[in-house]
Amino acid sequence: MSILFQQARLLNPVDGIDAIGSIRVSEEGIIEKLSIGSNPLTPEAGERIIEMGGRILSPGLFDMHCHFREPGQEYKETLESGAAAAAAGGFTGVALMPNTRPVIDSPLGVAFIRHHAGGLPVDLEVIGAMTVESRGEGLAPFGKYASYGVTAVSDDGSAIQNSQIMRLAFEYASNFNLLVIQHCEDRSLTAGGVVNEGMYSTQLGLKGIPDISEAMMLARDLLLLRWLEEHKLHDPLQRPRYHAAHISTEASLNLIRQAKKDGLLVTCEVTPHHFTLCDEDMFNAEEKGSYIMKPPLSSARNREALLEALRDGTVDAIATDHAPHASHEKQCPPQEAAFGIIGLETSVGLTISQLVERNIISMQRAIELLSVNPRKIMNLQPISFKEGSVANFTLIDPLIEWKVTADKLHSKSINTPFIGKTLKGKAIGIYHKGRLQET
Amino acid sequence: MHSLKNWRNSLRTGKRPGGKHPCRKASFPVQKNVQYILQQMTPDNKPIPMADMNHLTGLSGLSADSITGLLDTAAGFKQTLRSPNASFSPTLKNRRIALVFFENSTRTRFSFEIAARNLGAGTLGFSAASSSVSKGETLSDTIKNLEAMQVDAFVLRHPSSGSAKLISRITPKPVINAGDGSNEHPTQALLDMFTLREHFGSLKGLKVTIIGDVLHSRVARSNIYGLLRAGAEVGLCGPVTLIPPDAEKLGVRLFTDLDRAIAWADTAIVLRLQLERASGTYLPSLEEYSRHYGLTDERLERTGKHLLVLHPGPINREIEISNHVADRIQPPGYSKSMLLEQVTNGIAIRMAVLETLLGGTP
Repeated sequence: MSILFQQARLLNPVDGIDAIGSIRVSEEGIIEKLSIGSNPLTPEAGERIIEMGGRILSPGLFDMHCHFREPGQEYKETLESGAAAAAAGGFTGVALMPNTRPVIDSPLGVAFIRHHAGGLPVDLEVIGAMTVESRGEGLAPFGKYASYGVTAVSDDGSAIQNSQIMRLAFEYASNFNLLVIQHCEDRSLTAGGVVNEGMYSTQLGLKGIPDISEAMMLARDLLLLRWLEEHKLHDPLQRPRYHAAHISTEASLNLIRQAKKDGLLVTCEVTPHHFTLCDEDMFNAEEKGSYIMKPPLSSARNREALLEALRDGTVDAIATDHAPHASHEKQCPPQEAAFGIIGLETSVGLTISQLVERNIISMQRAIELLSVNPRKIMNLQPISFKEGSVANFTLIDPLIEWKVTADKLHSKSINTPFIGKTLKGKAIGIYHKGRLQET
Repeated sequence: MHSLKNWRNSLRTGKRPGGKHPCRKASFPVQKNVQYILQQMTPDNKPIPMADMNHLTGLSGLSADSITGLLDTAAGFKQTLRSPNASFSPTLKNRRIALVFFENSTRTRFSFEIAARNLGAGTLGFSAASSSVSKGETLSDTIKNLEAMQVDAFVLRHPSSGSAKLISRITPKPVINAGDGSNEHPTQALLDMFTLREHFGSLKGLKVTIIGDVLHSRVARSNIYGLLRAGAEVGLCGPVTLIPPDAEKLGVRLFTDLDRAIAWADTAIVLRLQLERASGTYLPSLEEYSRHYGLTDERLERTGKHLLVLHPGPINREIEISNHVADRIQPPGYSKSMLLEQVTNGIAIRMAVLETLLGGTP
C-alpha cells in the first residue's frame, strides 16, 4: 500500500526545497511522485493518506553521537531500546560510539552490531575505537574497519592523551579515509573533576573541570593536523578529516573558526543540553545527577558563545551524546554520578524551542544541523526527495507544545534534566525502511 | 693531538668540542667521501667519477658514473662467478679487511667475507657482543685501535644512522657502509640495481615500487638515491604511518593503495617489516599489514602484472610476501622472484666495491 503525504512543508536542503507540496511513497519505500504546490495530489485507490497540514517533512534526522550500551551494559540501554528512542525522537539513523563492554575495536564487534541492527527501525552506524580497548595505546585495525564499511573512528569518553599515538591515528585514519572524531579532553586537567570549575564548583565543594581542558586538547590536535598536512597528508595522500565532538566552550569554537579559515577539514558538533543549560542550572538543581556530564555544563558566557557559533555557522551539527545511565548511577552524590545524559527524544524539541523559536537559526538550518551535515560528515549517502529515491523522512510538528515525562520516554533510562519541562516542536513520526512509524 | 682528544671525548659525551673538527686539520689527507665528491661537481654539474671515491658510506651524492662503474665492474665478476671453476686474480692479496658488525647479519657479512676472499684479501671478524664495545669503548676508539693494527679497510654495520659517515672522517682507510641505522645500505641497493639492470637491460625510465616500512628502511633510502640517480622512477607504497614525511620532495611517487602501486610499476622491491625496529606501534597488527600490503598472487593477478620481485631478506613469509611470490622463479607469465639471484649478485657487487676502493696501489 502506497502512502501519500499530503500538503506537507517539504524541507530538504539537499534538493534546495522548502515549499508546500505532496509526496507519494510506494509500498517498497521509493518516492514515486513529488508535487510542489498547494494543489493536493489525487489519491490512488487503497492508498493511505497522511494529511500533513503544513507540518514539516524533512530528510530523516541523523544523530552522529549516541551510546546504546550494548554489548555489556544492557541494563542502561539496548540496541533495541536505543533504536526505539531514536525513532521516537525523529531520527532514522544514529552513529554509535564504541565504548561498550567490550569496546568495539574489531570487526567482530562491528559484526555484532550489524547483526542486531537489521530488524530495528533506524540505521545503526558503527564508529570503531581508535585504539585497542580505547586505552590510547595501540592502534585499532582501521583497515578492517574500512573493509566492513565503518566510516569513522573515535575513543569517545576520552581522547588519546599521547600525542605520538594521536599522530599515528591521524595518519592511519587518512590511510583508509576514516573520519577521526575526538572527545577533546586533557585528562591531566580533568582528572577527578565533576562540574565546571568556577564559582559554582567552589560553592559546592566539588572538584572542578577547567573549561580550557577541552580547547587544550583541541589545540594539540589542530597543531598535529596542520603539521601532518604540511609534511605528509597532502596530495596524493588523503587529507585528514577531523570532527570535534560536543564542543562546549568559546576557546574551542575560536580554534575551530581559525582551523576552518585555514582550510583544514575540521567540523564540530554541539549538544542540545550544552546550548540550553549552563553551570548555574546545575547549581540550582535539587537533583544534580542529570546535570553531570562531560564536558560539564559550562559558564553562561560559554553557552552564549555556542549560540553565536550556531548563528554564524561555525557549528556543523547537533548531536545528542545520548548517554543512558540507570537511576542508581545518577541518584547519588554528584562526585559519584556517572557522566552523561540521554538526549534522543528531546533533541528536536530543544532545537526548535531554544534555537528556531529564538531566531538563532532558521528551520532550514536546523535540518542541516540535524540531518544533512551529520550524514555528510560521516560520509553517508545524502537523502534526496527526487522521484525514484529511497524514502527516508522525519515528520515534524514545529508548533506543538509538549511536556517531557519519564513514562513517555522510550529509552531504558530516564537520566535527563528536561523531565517536567515544556518544549515547543516535536518529531511526530519517521518513514524509513519502507515503514511509517508515528509517535 | 689535544684537540683530537677533545673530539673523541665529545663523541663519547655527545657535547661539541671547543675547537674545529680535528680531522680537517689534516694530520692525514682530507677525506674524499661521497659528500666531498658531490661538492666537487664540475661546472656542467657532472660529478667526478669514482676514481675519487675513497669510501662508500652511501649512494646519496654518488654520481651516476660512479654507480655505472661499480655495476660494470660487478658484471665482470659475475661472469667469472658463473663459470664452473671460478677463479679470480688475487688483486687484494695481503690486504686485511675488518668486518665491524655492531648488528646481527648473516647474508651481508658472509657476502663481504666471500667477496674479500675471492679477491685474496683476509678478513677479521668482529661482533659487538664479544668485543671491548661491551666494555664501553666508543665507536671512534674501536676504529682507531683497529686502524693502529694496520687494517686496510672497514666494513661497518651499526644501529646508528650516520655512523659510517662519522668514521669515514676519522680514518684514512676506506670505509664501506654495510648498513647504518635507518640511513643507508649502499651495497644492498647496488646489488638491487645490478639485478634490475641485468634483467631489464637498463635502469633508465624503469618504474620501481618499494613496498613496506620505508620509514625505518636503510635499503629504501639507498635505493631511492641510487635509482633516481641512475634515471629510474621510484614509487613508495605502504601504510601512511610507515611513509616518511616530505618523502615526495625526494622525487618519488607515493602510494597507499598497493594495487595502484603494482599497476604503475615494472618491478617491486619488497621491504622487510622490521619487527625488531618498532614497526609494531605504527601498525595495529601484522595480519592487517599483510592484508593490505602483502605481495600475494591474488593481488598480482588482480592487477594483471607480472612483476620482477626483489627483497633484501631476510623475509617474513606470508607477512610482506607470500610463499608463492617469494619462491617462484618459473614459469614465465607470472611474477618472478629474484631473491636468491640477488644474493649471488651481492657477491659480485661487494667484490666490485672492494676492488674499486682497495685496488691499485696499497
